[in-house]
Amino acid sequence: MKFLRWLALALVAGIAAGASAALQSSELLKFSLVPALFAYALTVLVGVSAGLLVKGVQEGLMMALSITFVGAITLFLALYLPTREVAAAAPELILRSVWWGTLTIFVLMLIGIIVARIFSGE
Amino acid sequence: MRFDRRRLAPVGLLVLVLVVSGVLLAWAERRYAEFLETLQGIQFSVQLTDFEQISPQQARLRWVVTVTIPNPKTPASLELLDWHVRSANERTHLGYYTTGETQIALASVTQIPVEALIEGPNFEKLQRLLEASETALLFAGSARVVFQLPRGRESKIIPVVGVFALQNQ
Repeated sequence: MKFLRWLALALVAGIAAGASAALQSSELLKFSLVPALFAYALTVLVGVSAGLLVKGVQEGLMMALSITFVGAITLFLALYLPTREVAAAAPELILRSVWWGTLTIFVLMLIGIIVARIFSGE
Repeated sequence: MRFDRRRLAPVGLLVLVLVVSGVLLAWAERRYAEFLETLQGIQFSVQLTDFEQISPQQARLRWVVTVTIPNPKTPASLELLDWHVRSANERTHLGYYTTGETQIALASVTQIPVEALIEGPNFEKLQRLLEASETALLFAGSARVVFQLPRGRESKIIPVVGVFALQNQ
């Protein structure tokens, strides 16, 4: 059961983080309703939520990695699906955005989780 | 890791962020797909409307460049940057022309009149082509299409090419 809860949290948080990261990608930023800063804030909020639901440094780090993994897949799909024909011919066009987005998710997850653990008094 | 009443707030926050980011992403993706659809659907056609020799050493050519966008969803404007006129086999260059910086708002069908005054050595080359019955000419230019997006502008340079035949007048 604990594993299922872990999986559910990693999936929901990863999808939210990936969707937020996609909003600040160079491909979609001009088409977004909100500025990049708002998208970063959403990603940090995902980290804060996850940070309030985990215990301990190791669990926090594992959760950050799991969320980053799911987030990277979500981000890739969000950028790949609208541009299937172009992306299939030149995948490097979106891979750079996916790489930077994944790095951003991981860093912001760590920040969010650390902030949450500090606020929860750990 | 456990879920109890105290965990409702972070779970609620997470679900809220998921919904907000999902809705924003779906909206952005829709605009992006519409932009790509508009970009891929743009078609140019060039038609010669008038050719006349206005003096012993000058000829004037007039074309209409028709820009067609099926089902335009992203507001866009167009600027015809410059164009060349050549013989159809591209061996003879008949000059370089430009309209200046005129931006035209694009609708589903937009017609842009353009004009070139051929004179001097270019006119002589044109006369030689007509004497050799090489009346097929090439219009080759480029257009800058500027799309108005929710957060800024995106401009694309698109080639405009058309072949037309001169009627010797």
